[in-house]
Amino acid sequence: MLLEARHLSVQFGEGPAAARAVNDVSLSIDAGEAVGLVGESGCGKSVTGLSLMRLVESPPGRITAGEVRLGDRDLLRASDRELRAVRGQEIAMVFQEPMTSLNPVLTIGDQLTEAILLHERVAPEEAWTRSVAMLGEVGIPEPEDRMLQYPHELSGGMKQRAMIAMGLLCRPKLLIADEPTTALDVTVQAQILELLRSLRERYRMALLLITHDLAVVAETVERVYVMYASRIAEHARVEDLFGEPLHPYTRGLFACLPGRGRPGERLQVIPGRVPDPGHHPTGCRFHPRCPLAQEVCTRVDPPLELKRPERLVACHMVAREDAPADAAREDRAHA
Amino acid sequence: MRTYILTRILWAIPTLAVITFLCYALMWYAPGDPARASYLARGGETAGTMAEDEGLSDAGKLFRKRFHLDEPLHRGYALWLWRILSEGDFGVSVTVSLGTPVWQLVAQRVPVTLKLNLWATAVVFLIAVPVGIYSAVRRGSLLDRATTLLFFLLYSLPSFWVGLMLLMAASKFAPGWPTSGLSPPISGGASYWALLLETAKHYVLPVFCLSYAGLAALSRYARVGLLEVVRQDYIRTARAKGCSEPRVILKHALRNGLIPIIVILAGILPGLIGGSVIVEYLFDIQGMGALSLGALSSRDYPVIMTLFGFSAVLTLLGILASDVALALVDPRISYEQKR
Amino acid sequence: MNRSVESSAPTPPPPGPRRGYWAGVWRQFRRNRAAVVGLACVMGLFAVAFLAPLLANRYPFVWTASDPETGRTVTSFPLVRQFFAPPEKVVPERVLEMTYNYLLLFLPCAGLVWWASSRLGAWRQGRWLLAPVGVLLLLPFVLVQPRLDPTPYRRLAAQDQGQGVFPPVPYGPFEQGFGNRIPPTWWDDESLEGARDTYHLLGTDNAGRDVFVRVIHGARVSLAVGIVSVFIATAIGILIGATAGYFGGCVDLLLSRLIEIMICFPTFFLILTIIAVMEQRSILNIMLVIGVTAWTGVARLVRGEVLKQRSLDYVTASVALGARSSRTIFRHVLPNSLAPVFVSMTFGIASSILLESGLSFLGFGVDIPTASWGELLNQAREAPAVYWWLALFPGLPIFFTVTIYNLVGEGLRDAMDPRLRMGPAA
Repeated sequence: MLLEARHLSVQFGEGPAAARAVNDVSLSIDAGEAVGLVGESGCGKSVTGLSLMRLVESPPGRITAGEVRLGDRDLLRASDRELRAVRGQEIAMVFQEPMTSLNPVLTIGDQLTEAILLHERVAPEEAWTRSVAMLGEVGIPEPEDRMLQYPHELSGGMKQRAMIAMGLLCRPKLLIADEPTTALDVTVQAQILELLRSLRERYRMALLLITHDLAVVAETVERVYVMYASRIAEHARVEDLFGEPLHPYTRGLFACLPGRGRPGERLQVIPGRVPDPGHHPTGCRFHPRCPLAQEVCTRVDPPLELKRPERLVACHMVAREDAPADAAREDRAHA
Repeated sequence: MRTYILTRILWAIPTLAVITFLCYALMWYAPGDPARASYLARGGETAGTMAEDEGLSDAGKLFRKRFHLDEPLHRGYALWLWRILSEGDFGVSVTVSLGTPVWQLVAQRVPVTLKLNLWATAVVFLIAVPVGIYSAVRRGSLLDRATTLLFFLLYSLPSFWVGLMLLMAASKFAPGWPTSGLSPPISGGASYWALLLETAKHYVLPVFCLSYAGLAALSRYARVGLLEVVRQDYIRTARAKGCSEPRVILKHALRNGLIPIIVILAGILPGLIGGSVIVEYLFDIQGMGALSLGALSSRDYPVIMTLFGFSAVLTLLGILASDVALALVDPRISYEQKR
Repeated sequence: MNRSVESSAPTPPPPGPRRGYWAGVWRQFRRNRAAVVGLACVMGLFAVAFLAPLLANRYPFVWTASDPETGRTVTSFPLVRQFFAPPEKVVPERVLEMTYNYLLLFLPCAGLVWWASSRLGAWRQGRWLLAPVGVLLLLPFVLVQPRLDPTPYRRLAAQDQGQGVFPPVPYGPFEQGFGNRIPPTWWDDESLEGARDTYHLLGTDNAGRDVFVRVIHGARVSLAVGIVSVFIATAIGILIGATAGYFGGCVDLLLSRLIEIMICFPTFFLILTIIAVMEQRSILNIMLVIGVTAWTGVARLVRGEVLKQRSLDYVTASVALGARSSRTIFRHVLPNSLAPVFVSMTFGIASSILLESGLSFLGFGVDIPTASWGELLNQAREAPAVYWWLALFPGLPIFFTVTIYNLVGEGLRDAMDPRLRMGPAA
């Protein structure tokens, strides 16, 4: 197990008006594995990703509970120095908006070599050469020229590639990609995803892909966590999830996809809206919009339980189909 | 980049022409006879504008001729401008210091004002920028709130009142403190250091009066600018890379946050010469401000015109310098992009 | 039990976006205690300026004396006459005083009409009352003739030759003869022999006038200059900025050049120069000069806002409907662009007041004998320690006024900042 986050909770603001963006979220990533974190905007997936490296802006955000284990260290309780050593070197992060995520007054080369020089004691020339090589690897033409350019001189796709290059320079064990393709054109999206896949293969790097796009997830990852309103709703291997989604929310998501129904049929929607982070409904977060909701759903928040082999679902209405003995053991392991 | 600078300079030329033309036209339409001007005269004594002939004394008539006021406006302007450009003849002072060439008067006063204003600018920047940075980084701390309040109050204080109060306090509580002029009277036998100390004492009050308002404004500007920057995505990227907090601020945030400050710095240029009128008036400093005041009060037109044109040219240069500085510091601005 | 979807959906936004916007701004503004205090102080300052002739005047409100010839008791209202016909010789100053006095009467009446008609639910009809009320109140100002009344009411009252109700400070702003540059009466000064028979809270100035009275009346000048000059500057700025921003192209190029040229002029020097060559230094001229030199900031601001708005769809919709440019600008673009202008106006008033005091201090401001705070300060210049009351007291109202306007301006700016109003980002 490379990275394990347990019972993570993050809130914004203080007092009665505080919004709990992340509530008791646990996830795990194995070495070399690709894991997806899927959900609509506002469900807390980006904040989860940020909190893994304590990048949540505090104030107003605050990690209120949980631990993030990398090896034998808890990143949430590590010292600043330890954390800095991890950031960029063992875990790297790529963000959603390439336009604003690069410093506009520093050259690409400056920002890339900085990523190396912060963690390794090498000569600047070596850092330069490595950066140029990495730019080439991520598919940027004429990398030496690019090193001298400023971010505003690059296109969106190239900026994203440069960001990925910057993240990979120290050969991190895990790359967290927060919606890396959302701000890009569809054709560029495909290229970036392919790039991530090939880089993972080459460097045997684990990947946490945070996205709202189910299609992206299908192509790229092995396991998926589905988040809704600050909690994990379902967790499964990607084939299992796509083959038979269990949680009503996930089923609703799949039903919404155009192309699933017959031609001429109305597009399906999940009725209602995602609740405000400050105003979650009592009981199960999804119950106001759930076609299966019962009385218990309005009172009790369903725990994330093993309902099938290697599948966790947080829903009262999904029955358990498994040998009870195995189920109990796995339950305890995941608690 | 070079093209950008060139374009800006080219645009400055017509602006310059318009300014100097307005300068000249002001004198054209101004009422009163400078040769008979009295202190704080209001032009009620002689009817008609300078461009008309009746009722003018001989000196006035000579003045008219010298400034080509008997010619049509555009010709007069051209001739006047030509004379300045070709001979550097800005005319002769009429009332402030009768007979002295204007250029000489100006040259005498410029160093005085320059020294005063340069010191004030240095004080402002050296204090305001660090305070602004500290305020942004330690937002909400006691020191931040205290300085914000203090600067807010300072900003609202009228400089002439502060000067008067300082003079009052100096007379009452520090009777020996120099309150006029910028240099001590030379007395033989005083050591170099004693003289230096005395000169420094002369500077304290005027420099304070000049700088406290700018201090408040600039530190506020620095704070707000830096706060904006610290919220940006690329700061988060820098942290995600493993940059330590000091490095994030000094290397990533500052360069972006200080861009507006640099623009202001370049804009200080015109203030260097003309910004200290009130302070010079209060502290009896014989600088450009005092000269302007004297010339304006007594309608010494050659001096007024020269000073006015001078100030305008400096302002123009200041704007140009600030644009160039901005283009140099911020790589996003190129000659192709519109602001 | 399937809960309905609507219960978890948020309530729809209130109707009338523009009204909602300002209500929201006011709500946010109210939370800033300092700004609210500032606003209250601004109202207090307005009150002092408007009430000035009723607060400090040499004439009593009511005067009863026995006529020496007939022996009958005669009641007169000296202050009332001066109120409707201020004796200032210079026309702009007289107009200023009359405008203030008129508004002092009109605004409360208008407020009363508004309140009463809203109460009765008949605001639409009540509105029509305003015009006749306004005209009615105008009559005395037009009909009463100005007359200099030299009767020494105070002395007569002291000698028991009549009774009168005097304003709280019974001296006039132009009344001389109290002794030149006398320190405040409560200041123990051995150099002055004998008791001074008149009480002067802040002493007297170099022409023997009571300083406190001049400070009170100076509020009228400062406030008027501040507000009117800012209005002029804003009007010019909006005109030029909106035209440049909306029409773009050549027009924008030309107007931007104009703005640049204007910026190049050293403002203070320019103001000094224009005032120096002007024949008459009335308060109107001062207002004009300050206003005409201060519009560039507003112009740039408005131009930027209009440029932003112009690219939005509602503008295209308006044009597509066939609206003329002026209509599109006035009805649609401008109301949405003007929010930051209000902030700039508030700060503009503060700096305008500072500017006017500075000019008066240098001797380039309002003409004597009009009272101005800066001019009083100038009198202390020769020997600030000796004439300390002239150096200290007139500066306090300037500082106070500028501070409160800056407070209100900051409060307004923070209240309109969308980022500060939104909650934490999701």
